[in-house]
Amino acid sequence: MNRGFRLRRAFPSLVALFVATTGLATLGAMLGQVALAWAGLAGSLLVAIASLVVGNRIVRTLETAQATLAHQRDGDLRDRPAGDGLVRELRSILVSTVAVGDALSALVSETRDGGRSVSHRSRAMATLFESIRSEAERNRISSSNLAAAIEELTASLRHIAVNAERIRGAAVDTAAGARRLNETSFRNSLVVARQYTNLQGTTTRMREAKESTDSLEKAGSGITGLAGEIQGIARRTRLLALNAAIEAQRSGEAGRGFAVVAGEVKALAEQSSELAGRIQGQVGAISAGTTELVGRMTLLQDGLERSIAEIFRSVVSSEHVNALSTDGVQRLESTQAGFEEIARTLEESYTALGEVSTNAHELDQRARALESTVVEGTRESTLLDRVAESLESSTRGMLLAPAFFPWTDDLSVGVAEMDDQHRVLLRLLDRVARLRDGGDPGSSPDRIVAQLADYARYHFAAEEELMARLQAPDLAEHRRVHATFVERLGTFRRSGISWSKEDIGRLLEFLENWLSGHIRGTDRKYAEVHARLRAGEGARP
Amino acid sequence: MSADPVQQIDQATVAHALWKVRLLDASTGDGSVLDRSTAGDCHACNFGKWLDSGADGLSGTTEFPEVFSLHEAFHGAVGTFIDRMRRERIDLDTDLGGGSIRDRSSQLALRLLRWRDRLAGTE
Repeated sequence: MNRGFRLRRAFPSLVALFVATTGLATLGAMLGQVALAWAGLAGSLLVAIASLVVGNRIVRTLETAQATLAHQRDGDLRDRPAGDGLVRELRSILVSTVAVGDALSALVSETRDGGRSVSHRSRAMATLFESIRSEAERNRISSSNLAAAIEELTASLRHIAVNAERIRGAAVDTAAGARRLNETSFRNSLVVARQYTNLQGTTTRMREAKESTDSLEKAGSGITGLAGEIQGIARRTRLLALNAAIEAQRSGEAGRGFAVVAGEVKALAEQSSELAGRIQGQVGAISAGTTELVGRMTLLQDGLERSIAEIFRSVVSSEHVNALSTDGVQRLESTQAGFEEIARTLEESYTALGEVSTNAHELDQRARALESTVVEGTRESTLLDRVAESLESSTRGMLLAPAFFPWTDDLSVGVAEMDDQHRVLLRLLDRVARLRDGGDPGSSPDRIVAQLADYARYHFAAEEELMARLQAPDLAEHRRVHATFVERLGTFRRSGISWSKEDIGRLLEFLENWLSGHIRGTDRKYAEVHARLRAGEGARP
Repeated sequence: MSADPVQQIDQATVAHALWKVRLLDASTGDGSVLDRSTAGDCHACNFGKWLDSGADGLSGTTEFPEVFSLHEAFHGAVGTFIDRMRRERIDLDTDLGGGSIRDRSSQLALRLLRWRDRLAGTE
């Protein structure tokens, strides 16, 4: 293979490389990766220069071919050998052109698919961004509401804390007052109990006094009886004195002295009677007074006993009051402790709520930032979608018709030159297929089939030459198969075919089956030899 | 004591109150005799004797053991306080402002009141 041929073979790769580097530069620009964009641009430039060099070589070859053909047309056949060389050159250019077409087709197809994929993904991203934006908006609203609610809650909590502090202060004051009341009630209960004790003592003494008075009354009655007895003695003494006076009268002078004594006895008797009467009067007065005193003492005793009963109840009540006030103090102290706990809890809640409020505000700000970012992302994805749509739209017109018999790696025989020629044959089948589908109205079926036959002969010759060079087995059989194909194709052309859609369909079916079987089957034999030789092994296994 | 259970409780309450007066008088040196062993003995006072006698048939009530324990604790506090009085030369009145005797006495009186209310049907 000469140098020019190798350069022309490099042309499709250069084109592919150019498209790839340009795509890289575009991608870098789209993603904002400056280094990537510059690298892609520099690569594109280098590849473009290389493509120009190779393209120039191809153009010169074509110009030489054109000049040679012009000379031959003018009857100058001196360039005939050069013309044969040119035919080979032109055929190799055809191979390169087909390869370029394939590469471009693949690249355009990949670009279009990529654009479609980017468009699809960017739409999905836009939908996702919209969903995220919607969610972010809801989050922002929620966080704003949360922040507002927390502020409201904080204000309420502050109000509650102030009131709780007031209540706690009132509870402290009430508990202090209750404690003083409890002390006082305890002292009062002792005072009341002492009064009860005192009253019990007074009642006892009153009972004793009444008993003494009763004894005095009885003693007075005894004295009155004694005074009565004294008066009786005085009466009998007076009577005795009267009798003595009578007897003294009777006795005359002798009895005069006795009469004086009798008179004195009489006077004494009268004095005794008077004294006894006065004693009776005095004792009677004392007795009456004593009786009255006893009555009054009885009343007083009754009153004292009623008072004792009442004070008994007072003692019980004061004990109850003391007990209840103690209970009240305990409850108030418990309440006070509860309010202090509430105040502490409120203080802690207030502090915690402050932190929550700060976090809520931060959350709100983050939600707003996220929403802005997502909106920006949505815009970017929309832009990306437009770019992708534009890319897809731009490449749509660049797409070649889908291959009738697409090249696949399993068709490769491992010899680049033969693979290239097989690709040309397959593309010629594409042209036949387009004829069948009415997609190439300006082309003549005879001419396309003639081109196919011409290129098949050229390829078979190259293949047979390669097999001979490789000393591949079954060369004769291979030649016979080639000849059969050419003959069959010639028969087809000579059979007066009308080139109807059905005729072309039958031809296509034959060509597809033959080429597929031949490349995948018969050509494998020299491919294996070629592979063994490349591996340094012998031509035969 | 009376057969009326409420009246019994009231009399027990008054007996306890009177005993406190005796304790106060003893601490202020009015000549009342209240030695440590008697004052600290929950079985020596009228209330204690009433409880020991079965509280006139009230010993089966749920409050009885609680009242018994509170009364025992009260006399325990009194005994401790008498020791302290002798040691520190203080009188009972200084302990009224939150002392253990007052607290125990109040607890006992409160329990008696609850007992009385339940027996009277006013709880």
